[in-house]
Amino acid sequence: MVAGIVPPYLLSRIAQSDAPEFQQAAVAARQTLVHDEPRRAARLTLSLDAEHNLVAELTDGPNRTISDAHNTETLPGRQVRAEGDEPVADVAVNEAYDGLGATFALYSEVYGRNSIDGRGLPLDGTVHYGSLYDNAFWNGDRMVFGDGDGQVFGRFTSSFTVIGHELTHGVTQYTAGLVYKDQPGALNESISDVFGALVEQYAKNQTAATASWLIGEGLFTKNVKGVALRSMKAPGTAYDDPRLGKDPQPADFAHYVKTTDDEGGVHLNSGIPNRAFYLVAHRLGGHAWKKAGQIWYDTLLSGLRPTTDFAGFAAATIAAASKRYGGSSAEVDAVRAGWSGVGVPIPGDAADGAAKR
Amino acid sequence: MVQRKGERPARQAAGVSILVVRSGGFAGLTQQWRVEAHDDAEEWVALVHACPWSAVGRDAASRDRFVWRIEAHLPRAVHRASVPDAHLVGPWRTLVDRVQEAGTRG
Repeated sequence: MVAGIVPPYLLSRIAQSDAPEFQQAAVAARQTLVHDEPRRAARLTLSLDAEHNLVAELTDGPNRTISDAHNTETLPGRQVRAEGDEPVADVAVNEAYDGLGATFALYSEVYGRNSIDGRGLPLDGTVHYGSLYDNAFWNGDRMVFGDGDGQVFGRFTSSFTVIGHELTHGVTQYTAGLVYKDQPGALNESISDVFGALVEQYAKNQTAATASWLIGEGLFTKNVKGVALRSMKAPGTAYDDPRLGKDPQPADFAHYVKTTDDEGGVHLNSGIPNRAFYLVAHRLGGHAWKKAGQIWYDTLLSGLRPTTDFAGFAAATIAAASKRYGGSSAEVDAVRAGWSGVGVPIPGDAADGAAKR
Repeated sequence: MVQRKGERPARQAAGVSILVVRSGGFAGLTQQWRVEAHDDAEEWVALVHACPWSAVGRDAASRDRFVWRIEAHLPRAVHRASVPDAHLVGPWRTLVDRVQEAGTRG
């Protein structure tokens, strides 16, 4: 079996082939070309069936481009690796490329979503942004990664959770469009942490019980007393360092942080819905992307208002779980228990479990 | 300078205090820097006046970028602005770089 990424020109060649042994491949390639946009990539799998016929399968594939800002703050920088190119000598470039691939794989293979917009949007990343730049961000079009200062932070490409987090900001932008402030902003952040963690768990085939539930594990240098930037399982415990202070994330709604900095503490209060997700995944057991992740993904596509708050989001997850698994299912019970575990009230929640939105 | 008891130092009235708070970013770590200037206050006033306090750019598209809260307490005025990382350029960048170099952290 041969698997690879097929550039559009090769799809065209296959589509035009009239060799009998490539007949099915030609049909599949023609369909892909007809249905798809010009720059879309696809993954081609060739195999032989029981009668030794060549079977060609075309599935969605990522279209990645990594650029290098060469320690300036000018975007996009110079292109250094495109889809299908061999690995390069620069580890940050390869980490970004692989992380984008792992994120694409989760969305495509588990949720049937073809890239950020669901329509094969190219995935663009820039590495080596700025000088000693202690951050990674999404600018509305691309993922941007700094090298870190080397004293507190190392490379921001070194964890799949960071790359999955940034790309998920794109998914949220194209779906629920949650405003980046206060409670909807903290939900926006939490959704990025949830799917960032799931990208890592899916790539490593971890269960809810074996996963670390840490965001940005390994980003801190050895000088810092801490394991990661955030813990979804136990918000507020990721680090406790003399210079950085203690992880300030609240673990429940009673400790919601009111501040005007950080767009109303979106990176702090995300700890509350993060832990709710962990509680749901933990209770359901097994691979978190299958049920808990599916419920959160369904919720993201359920027509949320951009200003949805914690309680509104909680109600929407219950509605999504009811729709997929049934109103009296174990999944709905788990979602209720998750929100109740972090003290988020569910509006209009009736004892019969038939939550409506 | 010799001061009499109960008298505020005259130059403090002409002093300048500038606070820079960087929040947000992927890590959500807040850091701040502060400058208290007296003898060289005029230099700082010039840096503050160079910034477009009433015309700060907005950045609604970015996620996980730093937000810079800048407060300048001048002898006769107080300026406050929240500047998105994408707009921390020109005089804003000059002011923040100088505060980070000369100021105390914490």
